[in-house]
Parts: sequence; structure tokens; C-alpha cells
Amino acid sequence: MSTRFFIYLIVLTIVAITGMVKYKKLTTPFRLLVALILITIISEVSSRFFAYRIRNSSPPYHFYAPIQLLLYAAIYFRLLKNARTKTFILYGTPVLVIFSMLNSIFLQDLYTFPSNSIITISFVLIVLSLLYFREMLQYPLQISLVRQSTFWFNCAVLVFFCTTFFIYCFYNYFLIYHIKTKLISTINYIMTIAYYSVLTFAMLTDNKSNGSKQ
Amino acid sequence: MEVNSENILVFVLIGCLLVCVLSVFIVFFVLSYRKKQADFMLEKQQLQSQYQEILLQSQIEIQEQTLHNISQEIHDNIGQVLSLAKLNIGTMDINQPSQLQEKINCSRDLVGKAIQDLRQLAKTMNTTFITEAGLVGAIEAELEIVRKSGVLLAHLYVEGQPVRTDPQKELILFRIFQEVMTNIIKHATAEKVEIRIGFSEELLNITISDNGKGFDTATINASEKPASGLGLRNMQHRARLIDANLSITSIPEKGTTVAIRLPLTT
Repeated sequence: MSTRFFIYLIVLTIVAITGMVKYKKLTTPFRLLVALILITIISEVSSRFFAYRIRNSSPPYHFYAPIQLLLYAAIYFRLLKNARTKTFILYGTPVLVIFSMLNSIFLQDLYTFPSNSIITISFVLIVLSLLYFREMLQYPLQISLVRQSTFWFNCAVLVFFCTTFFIYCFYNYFLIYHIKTKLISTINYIMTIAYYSVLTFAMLTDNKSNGSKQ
Repeated sequence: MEVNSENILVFVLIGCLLVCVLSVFIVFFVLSYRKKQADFMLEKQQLQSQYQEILLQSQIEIQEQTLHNISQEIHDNIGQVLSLAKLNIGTMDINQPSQLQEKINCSRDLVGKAIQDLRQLAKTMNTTFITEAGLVGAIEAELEIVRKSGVLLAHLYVEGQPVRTDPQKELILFRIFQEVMTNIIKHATAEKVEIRIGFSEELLNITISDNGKGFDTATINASEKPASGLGLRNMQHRARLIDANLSITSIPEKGTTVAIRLPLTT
């Protein structure tokens, strides 16, 4: 097990433990986030297992991508108020899940990393986080932004998925031209650690009783 | 190798640009959010001061209305009763014992009635009357005055288990009720008024219906005269301040119904 992966796993475990300890006090979107983190841990561990056994870590990500999309969609469905956006999530999510499955069957098989699905999911999450920022401006709360769990969560989602989108757009390009670089994986690694650290902070600030969003 | 370096350079440049854009966006968002929070706070403060102003105004108007009612009551009722008592006493003849006893009894009854009416008046003169009696009690007392005046036939129906709400809200509701009653007496030329107060778990419903001449609500809304419909707008404004909804339904020659719905939230 590489040091990088070990640190990543520790960070993920910290988020999961924080979420589980605070589970009763968390609002519904953050409870869903705890479930997502647990699934992420399972996916990451199994990807390592596959890498060790068949020298390919991609298969678990083909299952993880649609589940991740469903859970993020459920989180934003609970967070957003706008009826049109909710309808968009309700009808758009099944379409994207089907796309992700078709991608795994026809375009990027189980032994290829599902970058098409990741790019699509990232794009949708960027749009949802921007829409949520717009709603936050429409209905400002009388508590400081620093104490608003959804602000931290949304910032983390926006920055992380912008980076993911950007990285995987290049990933396909680099793959086509067989260009190997450590830079991409380093940036991706740093962003992932930062993302889960911010999520830990968001979970710590989230509290049902202090008026956080249900 | 050269292609590789060029690609990495493009990647790094786009990456830096992305970081810059995201940073600017988040800073811009935080600043906008703070501005919105400040605006919202200001708006809330303005609304609160407006609420206090309306509350004070309502209290003053209720006091004015009470004084008016008292003056009318003293003039039309207590004054008359005492005058009659005085007349009785003045016409007493010691030489006619049987008639004397009757007149003494009658005068005692009249003075007793005057005392009873004065007690009732004293109750309504108390500024905390609405707070003590509650909305239903205050409305009932107000209707008693209307009934006594003989201007209108007034009926009150209470549905559901009466619950007390915020005293300040009750005061404003009572003032709205008084305004509606004044409008009916002054303009509706109605013979009968029916008040229904309905309590449910979530809602307080007050409906005031009269059988007067009614009016065209569209004309009032479309009127260019600033004074036209001012009273109605004023009532609606007051209702909005306590999160209540006030609706007016009126058909010419068929009467008017004013409905007030107040959510009973904890």
C-alpha cells in the first residue's frame, strides 16, 4: 500500500467516523453524505484489491460512479428549494445513470477508467453547486457563513469537481497521446485530500438544531 | 518530449486560470452574501419598527374608540337611566305611600342598572382589557355595545376550542375587527352582521359578514384617489404585519364579507 493511498484512506476514515459519531445531529443531506463516504471507502479499498489481483483498479469505479451520482443528486434535491431545479434533478438523474451504465457497456469497458461518466457527473455537480450558491444569495440566513455547513460543502463540491472535470478532460487527451505525467495525479491527490478535509469541517459545523438546512 | 512539455504548460496555465476564477468566484460570493445579509437585517429591522408603530397606533385607536363608546354609552344609556331615576325621585309624593313605594323600587332598579352599566364600562376602559379577556371576549364586549346602540343585529359564533395567541397580534386583530365594524356601521347600511371565529390547530379564522349594500372591490382597487380604499389597504397592511391574510368579498346590494386568516404557529 502506497503512503499516498494510506493517507487518503486515513482522511476518508476520519470523515466517516466524524459523520457516524454526529449522525443523529446531522441534517438529512449530511446523513446522505455519510453514506456516500462509506461507499467511497468501500470503492477505494476494492479498487486497490483489484489493482493487486488483476493489475487494474478500474472495475469498482464503474459501479461507484452511478451510485455517487444518485447520492449527490439526493443531497442537492434536499438542499435546493427551487421547484424547477428539483424537477431537473428528478428527471435528469436517471438519464445520467443510464448514460453511465451505457458508457461502461459500450464506450469504456470495465477495465478502462470511466472518465466519461466522471466528466459528466462533475459537470452536473458544478451546475448544481452554482445553482445552490444562487439560492443561498436569494435566501440569506442570519448566521455567519463560516458556521454554515452547506456553504463549506458547496464550496468543496464546486472546487473539487471543477478540478476533477478539468483533470479528466486532460486525462482523455493524455491517454490518447500516451503522455505520462505525475503532475495530474499529484494535483488530483491534493484536491481529494483537501475536499475530504473540508467535508469533515462541514460535518462538524452541521447541526439540526442550529437551523442548518434539512 | 517537446510536445509533452508544451501540453504540461497548457495544463498548468489552464489549471492556474481555473484556480483564479474559482477564488474570485468564492470571494465575490462571500461579499455578495454579506451584503444580502446586511440588507435582510435592515429590512427586518424596518419591519419590526413598522410593527411597533402599527401596534402603538392600534392601541391609540382602540383607546379613542373606547372613549367614543363610553361617551355614547353615558349619553344614550346611563344618562337616560339616571335622568329617569331623577325624574322618579322628583315626582315622589309622601302623601301617596303606595305610589311612593313603587317609585322608590323603580328608582332603585334604575340606579342599580346604571351601576351595572358603569361597571361594564369600567371594565372596557381598562387598557389591558383585551389582554385579559382575549380576542373572543373583547369582540363579544364590542358587539354588546353595538347591540345596545340598536344600530345592528349582531351575532357571534365561535367554532372550535378557543386558543390564545400572541397578545400583540390579538390587539391588532381586534383593531382590524373594530375598523370593519365601523365601516359596516358608517357605510354599509346593513341590518345584520354575523361574526364567525373558527379555531383549528393551525389557523384562526375570523369572518365578518353583513347584509348591507356592498361595493365593487374592483372600483376601489382601480380608483386613482389616494384616499379611496385607504381604510381597506390599511387593514390589509396591518394583517400582513402579523402574517395574517385579509380578504374582502363584496357584491353590490348583496353584502360584504371580510375574512381574516391567521396561522397559529408556535
